[in-house]
Amino acid sequence: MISHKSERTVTCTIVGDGMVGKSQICKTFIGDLTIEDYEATVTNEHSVLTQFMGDRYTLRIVDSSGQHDYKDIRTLSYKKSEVFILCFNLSDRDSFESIETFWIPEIRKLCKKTPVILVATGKDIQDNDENNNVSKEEYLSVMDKYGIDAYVECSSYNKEEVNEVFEDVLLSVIKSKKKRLSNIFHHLLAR
Amino acid sequence: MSTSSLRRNRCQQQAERNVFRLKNSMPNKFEEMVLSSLGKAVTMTTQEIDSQVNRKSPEKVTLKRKSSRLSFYRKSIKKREFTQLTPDSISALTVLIEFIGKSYNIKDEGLFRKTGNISRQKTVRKQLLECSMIDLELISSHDGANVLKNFIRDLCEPLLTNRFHNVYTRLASLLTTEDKAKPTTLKALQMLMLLMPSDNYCLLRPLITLLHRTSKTPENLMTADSLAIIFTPHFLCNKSSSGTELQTTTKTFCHLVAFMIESGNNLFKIPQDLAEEVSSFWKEMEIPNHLYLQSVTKKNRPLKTLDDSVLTESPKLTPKKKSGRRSLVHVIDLGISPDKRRKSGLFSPRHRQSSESSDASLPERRPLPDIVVSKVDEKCCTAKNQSEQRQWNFPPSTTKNKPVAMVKPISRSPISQFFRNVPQQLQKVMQTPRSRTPMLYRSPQLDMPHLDMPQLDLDDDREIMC
Repeated sequence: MISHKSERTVTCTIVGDGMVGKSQICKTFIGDLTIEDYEATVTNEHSVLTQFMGDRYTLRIVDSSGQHDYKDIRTLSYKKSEVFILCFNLSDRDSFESIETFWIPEIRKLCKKTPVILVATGKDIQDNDENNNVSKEEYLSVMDKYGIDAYVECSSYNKEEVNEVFEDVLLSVIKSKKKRLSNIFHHLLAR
Repeated sequence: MSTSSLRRNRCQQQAERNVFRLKNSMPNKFEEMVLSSLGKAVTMTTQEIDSQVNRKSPEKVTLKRKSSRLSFYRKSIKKREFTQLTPDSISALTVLIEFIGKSYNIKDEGLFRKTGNISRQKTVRKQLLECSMIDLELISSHDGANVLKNFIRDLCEPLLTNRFHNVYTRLASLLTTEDKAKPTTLKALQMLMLLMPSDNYCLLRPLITLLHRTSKTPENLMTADSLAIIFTPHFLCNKSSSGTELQTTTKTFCHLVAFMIESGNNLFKIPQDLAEEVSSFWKEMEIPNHLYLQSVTKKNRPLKTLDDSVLTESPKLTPKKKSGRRSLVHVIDLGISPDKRRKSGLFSPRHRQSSESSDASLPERRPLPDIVVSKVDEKCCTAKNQSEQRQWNFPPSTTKNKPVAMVKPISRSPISQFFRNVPQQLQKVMQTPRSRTPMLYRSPQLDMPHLDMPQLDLDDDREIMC
């Protein structure tokens, strides 16, 4: 092991409306092959060992509830998490709209600077109603508006695409660490 | 099969009618009754059940908030407006429930779980709070479901109320640990439903029916467990508890709520032993010594045959009586000839209060309704104690002007035969309400403070008799 930090723990929280596929993303990433169930989640925690850019990481994934009413339980894990994975469904306009109206305000209220990754799920599904589908321009504009670090389009069942999501998670954590360090440098230099 | 289910249905209806009549007319008595049988069902004392959480919790909550909560939390709590359950809002919500329950809406995937459009929901919510007509054409089923959910969330108390929180906790733990506990849980839940405030009941009943139907519709992919997870915080969890508390409590309560959703309409049936208790209470109110009588007749002869023979042999005896038992009580008096009593010296000569012989100087006393309730329990003592023997519970006023006493006594009627076998002490207890005139002389109620109370009743009586 060359790296002096051989193992680091990264905590990330998955948020987003109900039934967009949050739990499915976790399951696909872990490699849990149980049959899909449609039960609402209260909270779940998964710990996964991964390698990224030569370093080993323990990913702690908090799978939170999409029910807006479970706010008290969900926000418990917000303070600890270093990244947020914000999900919406490409074929469900409502879930996209509530990103702006509900999720980003809730996250920003508690964690002002934590990086957020936008994940568009349901790449493989198209709703029959054209109006229900979310176009790329729309969510790119949302990204710019709220300073979201990265976005990934995926299907919750596709292992490679889901892996990409978590690579982005680790990348953004490293980035934000660097940023913070450089910020401290700037501060010191400015004095 | 169909006949038995029909009969059960009719029994249930009758029980429901009895129970709700009692609930509305004598809420205290009703509550006491249900609480005691609930206590038996879950093996808890009445104090444990009725925890009066509401009284204690506010202090605790304020303390907690001051110590642990941050400033932004307090702000958000202040901002939140509590919705209130009023008949108006309930009727508006029922419209919404009906809308969600329509066959094309209930099949929507993820009903209650998906969030729907928030801006549309805001307008609907506004309409709901103003109690104006809800524009159902604009909204989707998800919007409707969420407005309904949020309304219940914003109530100042969970929908199932804090009062019986202890019982719900107990039931939840019972249900998770034991598989056999389902019948008792259902019974206890049925009684808890009856103890709920009527506004909450009116909302919960259609809601549970809707949720039950939703869980039974496979197209929407919602199971009872999923629905329970969504609704548990609104149904049972204390609004003021913190996140960690909620996390533990929701998990236990989820099973209970899922069970409630699964049982659906069965939740609002009347448990059988309660129904029996209530109906016997009503019989007690109609015929004071019904229970005592029953115990006596059980020892001697089946009551049913007696009734039949009375009805066939002497139809005049019971001109307008509906129930056979009541007629029996009247006939007893006739069976024993007045001469016999005079000889025995226990009773003074009878004064029959007919139109000619009514004695104006004799005030007719009727017990107050609540006295009747309290005296019911003492029926067994009356046989032993001579002075207390005078306190009679009269039948409801509808029967008071029926000319039963005009009929001649039948010397060899089966009833008189039967009552000859009954010891004298018991006969007195079985005196009919009609024969109250001799008792009036010694009635202890004459000394009671409410002397002017039944005056009206007396006037009524005489008018009718003339």
